[in-house]
Amino acid sequence: MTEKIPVRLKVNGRYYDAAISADASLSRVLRDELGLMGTKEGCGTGYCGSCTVLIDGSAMKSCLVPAVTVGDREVVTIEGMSSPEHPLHPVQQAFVDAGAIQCGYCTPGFVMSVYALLRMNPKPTDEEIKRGLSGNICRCTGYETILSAVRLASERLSSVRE
Amino acid sequence: MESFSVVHQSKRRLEGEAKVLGKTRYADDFRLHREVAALPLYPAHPRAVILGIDCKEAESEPGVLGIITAKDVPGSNSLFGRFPVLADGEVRYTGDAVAVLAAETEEIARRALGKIRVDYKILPGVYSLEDAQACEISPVHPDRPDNTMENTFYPQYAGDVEEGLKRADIVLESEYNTSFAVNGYLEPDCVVAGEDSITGGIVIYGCIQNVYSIRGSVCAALGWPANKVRVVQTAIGGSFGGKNETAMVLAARAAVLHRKIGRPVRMRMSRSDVFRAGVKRHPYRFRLTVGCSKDGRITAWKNQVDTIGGPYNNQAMFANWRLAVHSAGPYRTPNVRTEVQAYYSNTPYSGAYRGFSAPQNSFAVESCIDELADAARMDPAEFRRINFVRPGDVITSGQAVGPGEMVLPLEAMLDDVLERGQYVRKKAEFEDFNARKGRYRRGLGLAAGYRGCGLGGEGFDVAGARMILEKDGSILVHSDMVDMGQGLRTSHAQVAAEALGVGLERIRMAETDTSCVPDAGPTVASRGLSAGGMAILMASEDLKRQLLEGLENHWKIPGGTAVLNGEVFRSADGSLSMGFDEAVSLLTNSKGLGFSGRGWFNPGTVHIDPKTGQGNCYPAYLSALSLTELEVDTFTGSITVSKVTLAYELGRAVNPDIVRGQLIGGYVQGLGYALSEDLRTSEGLVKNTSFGSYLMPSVSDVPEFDLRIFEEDFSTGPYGAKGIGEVGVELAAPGVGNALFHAAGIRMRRLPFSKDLVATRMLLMEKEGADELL
Repeated sequence: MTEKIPVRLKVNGRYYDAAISADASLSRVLRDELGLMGTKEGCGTGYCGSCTVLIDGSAMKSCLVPAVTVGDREVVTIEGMSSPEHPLHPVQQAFVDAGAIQCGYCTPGFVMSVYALLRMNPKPTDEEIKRGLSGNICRCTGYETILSAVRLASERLSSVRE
Repeated sequence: MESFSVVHQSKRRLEGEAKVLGKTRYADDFRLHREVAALPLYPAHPRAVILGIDCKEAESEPGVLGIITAKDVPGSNSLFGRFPVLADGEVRYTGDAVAVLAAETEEIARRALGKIRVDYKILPGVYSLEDAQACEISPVHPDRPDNTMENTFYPQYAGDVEEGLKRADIVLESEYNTSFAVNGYLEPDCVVAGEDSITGGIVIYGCIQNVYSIRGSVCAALGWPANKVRVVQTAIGGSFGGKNETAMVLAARAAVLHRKIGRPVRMRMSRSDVFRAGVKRHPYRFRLTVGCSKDGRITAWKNQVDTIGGPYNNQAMFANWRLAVHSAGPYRTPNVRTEVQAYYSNTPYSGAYRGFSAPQNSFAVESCIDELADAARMDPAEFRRINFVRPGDVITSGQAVGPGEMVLPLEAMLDDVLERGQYVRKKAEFEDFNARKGRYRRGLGLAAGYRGCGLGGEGFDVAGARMILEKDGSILVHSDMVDMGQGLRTSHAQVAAEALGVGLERIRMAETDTSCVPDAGPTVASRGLSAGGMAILMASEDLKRQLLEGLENHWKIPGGTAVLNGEVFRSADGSLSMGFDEAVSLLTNSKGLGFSGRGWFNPGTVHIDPKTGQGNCYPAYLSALSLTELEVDTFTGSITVSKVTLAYELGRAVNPDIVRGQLIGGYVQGLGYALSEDLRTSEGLVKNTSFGSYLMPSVSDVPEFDLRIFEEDFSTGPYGAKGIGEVGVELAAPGVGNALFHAAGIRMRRLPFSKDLVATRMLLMEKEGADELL
C-alpha cells in the first residue's frame, strides 16, 4: 500500500479533509474522496477538458493537477456554480437556452471554461471564444450551439453589469 | 393545414438542466456498497497461443480478491459474433482479455495485474486486408480457411456492367481507401455488476447502448435464464454505435467475476484501453471501374469492396448489406456490379460507428463521381444534375422514386445549395485566386447522397412502447430506445404529448431498465425516433381511445364521437366537455379503472433478392447534399474548411433544434474523419491510444454552416420523422476531397487527408507540374 498523505482542500467554499496518495489527481480526489461526481474524467491525460475546474478562478484540467499541490487555493467545481438562490448560473442557463447540450459529458467542463473565459474577457470575439475553449472537446454538438451559448452568456452577463 | 401544439417545435431537452448542473449520473458516477475494482489483462501480442497462465503470485497480493480466466466462465464463452468472454487457448487481438482481476482498489488491481504470468507462443497474424486475402498466414479461425467472414458477402447487380463499360466513351479505374476510426465518445466504457437485492440474481448497470443484447450475453455467459438478470442503463456520455460489443464483454466479465467473489464489481475502461480494445469503423477498400458517355451519362458502375473486420464478426454482415444497397449512389446508372466482402483479421474489431459503412461508401462514390465529371470535362454540379435519379426512375436496387418514402428531390436541393453557396461567383473567384499560384489555394466541393432509413433488410425493424396513465394525470412512457445524447427522450415525449393531446410537462420517459421497458429491438440505424416514435404514437392512440370510450360511456354518447384536444375532452357537438385531470380522476379513481396503452410498430417486410441485391431494401430514404468551401496552405498541407452549405430532405423535423444538432454534430465528426482522425495499427497493435495522437475536431475547426431542411410529408414515421442520427456524418469527407481537388489539383484517395500527406502531394505536384500520384 502506498502511503496516504493528509490534505485539507477548500472546494466550493467548504473545507474537506482527506487522506490521499501523493500521485492522486485532483479529479480523482474530487470524485472518489469528496463524492463530487459532476467533474468528469474523459481521458485522464489532459486532452479532453471534461475535468475542468476553477482553481483560484482559473480554468484548470483537474486530471493533471496532483491534489497534494492544491494547498489552500480555492477550488470550484460544477456543483459550486449554482446555489439555492440561483438554481442556474447565467452560463448554465445559456447552455440550456442555446441547446448546447447533447450527451452532457463534456458540459460541466465547458461550463467551467466558459465561466473562466468570461471572467477574464466579458465580451470575447468569436476568435477569442475559440481560443479560450480550445482545450475542451465535445464529440456531439459540432460546437455550433456551444458558441451560441457563450455569446448569449456574454450578452446577459454584460447587461447585468451595465 | 393541420396544426400541432408540441411537435415540429424546438422544445428544450428534458434533461438539459440536470446535465448542465453536473447532476446527471453516468456509469462511473455512483458507487455500490462494498464494490471492488476489476481490470482485464490484455495480451502483449495480438496473436498468440496461450501456453499457460499462472495467477498464484497475483492472487496472494494483499487486497486482491479474485481472478477469472476462461475456465471460470460457467456458461458459454462464445458470445455474439464469436467474441469470447475471456480468451481460451489463443488471443486474436489486443482487446482479448486473458484474465480479469478484482481488488479492493484500482491501484492495487493495476499493480497485481503485472504479477499474472502468461506464457505465449507468438503466432504470425493476419494484420491487413492483403494478409487476409493472400491466405499465406494460418487463418484467424480454422473453420474459415480463406478468412472470409460468414454472411458478409453482399452484391448488387443491375443490367450488364461489361456491356455498359463497352458502350462508355470514358472509362475510369480508381481505388479508394478508408481508415479505422474511433467513435470518440467522451465517456469511457464502464459497467458494474452486483447482486439484485430482491431476487438474488444479477443487476448490471452501465453505459450500454442496447440493454437487451447485453442481458442476453450475460445470461449466456452465466448459463442463466433471462428472469435472473436485470440490466439498467445509466446516462450515456456518447456512443455513436460504440457501446455495444465492448459493453457486452465488459458486462459478461463483470458478471462472472461478481459471481466468483460475491461483491459488486466495477469495470471501468481507461481511455487508452478504449482505443486498444474498443470498436472501430470498418476500413473499406473500394476498387471502382466506372464509365460514362461523352455527354456525361453514367453507363457502368463496377465496385469491388473489401474490408477487414477484426477477429469477430459482429457487425460486418449488416454494414456490408447497407453498403451494397448504396454502392452506386443516387444516380441513374443502368449497369451495376458491386460485390462486398469482409475478412477476419488479428486487428481491432470493426463494428458500428455512426453511418455504418455509409461514410466510407460516400467518400468513394462521391469522389469517383467528381473524377468522372473531370474526365468528361464537365462541371461536377452539372454532371450530378444530369445523372441524379428523379421521379419515375428507380434507384440501382430497383426501388421506385416517388412521394413520401422516396422523394429524393436532389435536383431542387442542388439548385438551392448552388444558389445559397454562390457557387458560380465563388468558383470563378477562387479560380482567379488560385491562378496566382500563391501559398494558399481555395476550392469548392460538392457531395450528394441518399440513405435508407432504419434497419431495412439488415434486421427486424420493429419497435414497441407502453404507456401508463398515473392517477394524477402524469404519463409514464416505456420504450427501450435509448438516449445517448441525441435528444431521443425529448422527441419521444413530444410525440406522446402531441398524439394524446396533452401538455409535454405531463410526460415522463421511464429509465431504460429491462425490468420495465419492452424488448423491441436495438437503438441503431437512426431508428430511435422513426420506429421507436411510431410505437409511442400507437401506444398514445391506444391509451387515448380507452379514455375516450370511458367518457363516451359516462356521457352516454355514441362511440367514436368524443375528442381530446389541448387537454380537454369534448363531445362531437361541443355540448359536453371535461378537463383532462377531471376526466382522469373520474375514470381512474372513482370507477377504479387503470389505463395503459400499447404500441407495436412494424414498418412492413422488405423484399430483397439476396442473389442480386434487388428489391425494396429500406422502408424510406432521405437525401443529402453539401457544398464545402475550403482553403489549403500548400506549404504545411493544413486545410481550413470555412463554410459548408447543406440541404437535407428528411421527412419532417419533430424537433428542429435537435435535428440541426444531429446534422451539424454529425458533419463535424465527418470533418475529423476527413482531416485528422487517423487510427494507425502496426502488426495488429494500435499506435495512437490517446486524444493527443488521435485528433478529433476542436472548436477552432468549426466552419460556418448554412443549413436548409427540405420538408416533405411522410406517413410511416411519427409526424413525418425519417431518422436523422447518422446522415450528417456522410458528406464531409467527399466534400472536402472534392474541394481540395478544385483548390489544388490533387486527388486524395485515402482517408484521412493528413497535413503531411497533402503537403507532400503539393510538393510533388509543384515539382512535376502535375499530380504524379493521380
